Amino acid sequence: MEEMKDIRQDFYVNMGPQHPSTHGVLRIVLRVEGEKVISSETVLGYAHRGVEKMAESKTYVQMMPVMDRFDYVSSMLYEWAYVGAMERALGIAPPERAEFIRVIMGELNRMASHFLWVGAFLLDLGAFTPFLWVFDARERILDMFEEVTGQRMTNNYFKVGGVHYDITSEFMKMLNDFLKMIHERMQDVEVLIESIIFLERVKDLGFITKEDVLNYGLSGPVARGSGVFIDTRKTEPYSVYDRINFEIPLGTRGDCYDRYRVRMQEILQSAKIIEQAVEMLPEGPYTEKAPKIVKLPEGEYYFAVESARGLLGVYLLSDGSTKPYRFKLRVPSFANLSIIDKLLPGNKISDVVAILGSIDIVVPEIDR
Amino acid sequence: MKASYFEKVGIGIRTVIKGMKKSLVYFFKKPVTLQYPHQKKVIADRYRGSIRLKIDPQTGKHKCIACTNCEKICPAFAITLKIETPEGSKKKELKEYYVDLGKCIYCGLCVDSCPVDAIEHSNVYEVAERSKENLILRLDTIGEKNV
Repeated sequence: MEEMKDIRQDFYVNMGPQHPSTHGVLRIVLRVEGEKVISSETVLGYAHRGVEKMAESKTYVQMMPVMDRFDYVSSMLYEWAYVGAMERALGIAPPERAEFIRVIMGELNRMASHFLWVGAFLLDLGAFTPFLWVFDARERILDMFEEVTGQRMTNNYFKVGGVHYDITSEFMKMLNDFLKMIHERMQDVEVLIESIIFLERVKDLGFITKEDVLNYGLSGPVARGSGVFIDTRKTEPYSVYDRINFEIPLGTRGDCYDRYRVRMQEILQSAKIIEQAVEMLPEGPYTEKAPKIVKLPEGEYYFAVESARGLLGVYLLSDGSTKPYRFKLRVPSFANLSIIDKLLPGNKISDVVAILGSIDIVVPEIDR
Repeated sequence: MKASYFEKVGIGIRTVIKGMKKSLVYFFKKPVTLQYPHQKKVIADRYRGSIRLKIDPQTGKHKCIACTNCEKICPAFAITLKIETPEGSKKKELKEYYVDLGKCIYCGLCVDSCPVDAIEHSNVYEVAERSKENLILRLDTIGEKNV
């Protein structure tokens, strides 16, 4: 009898690395008793490519397209962090117009990322229709990117001292159409998903306290869902964010539902930012004259932006050559995922999907 | 205050009907999907397709001065140049220009780095081939393939 009990206690379920709702190759080993999770262990490294080491053998400019490939859903925010670090080192300030174009592009990227998250999160929970609706909206954003940057996802649009191309009148037309439809689309999606089936699954699930947010170093919508005011755009304003009027949506309880609400409101806040940025968009050059071969002066440089998932920092250690001596990323997903082993125990297996989905991870930036 | 089981069922049915109404509206909207091989999307002018050498309309030849900037900057090592310097002349001459589309990541750094504006991105995005060798563009095929 004693033996039997031990066998039953040591029942392990592997979630991933090929599980559709882990959003990539993430593996979580769940120790379960029946349907209940006793403990969990997250196993990383399946998508490790050694990019930080690779950066040491590539020039600063050659690293630009690689920055797109960490987080494929909000790639331009990554470019922004990297370009920001280089500009800080070189002492170059991009022209006004470039700053506003960056804000527009960055916020569009944040919206695209949140759209994908809403779609995938609800798909995990079994709702298929909202996925199609938000993907239609996301597709419009990608079309705009194609119009301006030439690519849909791996844009490679930012460069030291500005951006590669100017925005076009066609883009402005598409942007206006998009901003007109977005409020209605968000309302439609909310009508569809605010049903009791959804609410019962995400409410009172996966509580993150304020202390945990600070202890685990969480950031982004995960931290804001718990009511902690952390947003690099406000606390440490970069670019022209200090001149734009917008709010930071905060949750109160810190459960999955709050994190969902924060992201839904952030989409509308991003729309608000874009509207203002379009209005304030000045005429002028879209790029500053910058050296073609980038050589950073010796020293350490750090630049942080608010990515769609949280605080994203790029650290560069330069020895004065054309290649960085050390390149380090502070990615939000890694810190946000670290709390998962604390959240899972005590929940049912089907809730694991909801909790993991509400944290919004992108595996290529965790295993880099 | 918790809703009882039957109340919840009632709310559930109501919200489902509400959602279905919205879905019905979308059902009669124009579809946004394209039947790809039969219908094709209009590609943006700036779309970064496969690389080609620009032909100078005056001379009918490419403008490359064999500076190898594009070869040096390519992060994926997709571009290879073959250069010869004829005897008695200091000017470098381009003999071959290879672009391996199997390696190309379409980042546009080569186009950006070109000092004489000799290369550009075409709008060609259907570059599937039956063998790897066919993916390598050469000087004689780089123009005709990417029209």
